[in-house]
Amino acid sequence: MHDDRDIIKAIRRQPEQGFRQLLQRYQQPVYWYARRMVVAHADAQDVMQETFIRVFRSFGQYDESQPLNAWLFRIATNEALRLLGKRKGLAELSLDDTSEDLFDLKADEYVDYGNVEAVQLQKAILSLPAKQQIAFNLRYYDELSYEAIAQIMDSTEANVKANYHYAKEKIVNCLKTND
Amino acid sequence: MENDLEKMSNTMPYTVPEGFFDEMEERLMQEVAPKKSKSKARNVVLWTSLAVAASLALLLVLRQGWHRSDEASFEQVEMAFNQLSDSDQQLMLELFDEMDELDNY
Repeated sequence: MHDDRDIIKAIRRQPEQGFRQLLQRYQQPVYWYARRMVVAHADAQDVMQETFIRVFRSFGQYDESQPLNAWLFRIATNEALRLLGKRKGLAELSLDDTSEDLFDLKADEYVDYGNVEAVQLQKAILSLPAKQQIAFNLRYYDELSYEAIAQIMDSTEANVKANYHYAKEKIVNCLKTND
Repeated sequence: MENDLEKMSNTMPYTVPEGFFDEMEERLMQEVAPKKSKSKARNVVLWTSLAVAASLALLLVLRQGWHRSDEASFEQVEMAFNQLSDSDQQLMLELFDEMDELDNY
């Protein structure tokens, strides 16, 4: 697997070859990140596709002082929020939207409802407001640093930590009530 | 209870169709690949056709001993065509087909 520096160099030298390396490294993490937010497979596919096309077309604007994965996940977050906003009739869903149950584990061909524990966990995550959900997913599943998550969410590390801990507490409580 | 959450790490109920990521990688690569413009393709076909036509004309002239004729008969063109190698004949036929397709586009 290529590391981020090699990928950046490759994209600068030979865009197509570098882009393939980027896809091989980040296609799955971006898809699963989007999938946890938008739930339906087709929607996650759209988010992933739009994210990578945007990344390829705007790579000239990428600031190498920030980590590649933070830039990529930031674009994926914006694309996912745009898609979720459309569902609500908005141009884009705001990260500051504090309403809960924005998302739902609706019926989808590619969900294994037999995996009861995993379904419960996803339902609990989906019941959180956007900020807590994103902070939790990026930390818990993608194991990103608080610093990287803060860059993705355009926030501070302290704020991300607070959101992550609130999220964790709510999820644990939610799982308890379902026991 | 936090330990319970940690024990569940990375379990997700979501799945994807078989071969999905390979297919997406190829689709995305096609999406960003530079597209060949039609006029460029047409120019390549035209220049190649002209080169082959010039070779054919030269061949005709050399075979006929540089004598003038008002118009090359169909037989003369056919004779010249028959003297081309199999691969050149194939190339000529393909070029005519491509020219035809471009004209019909």
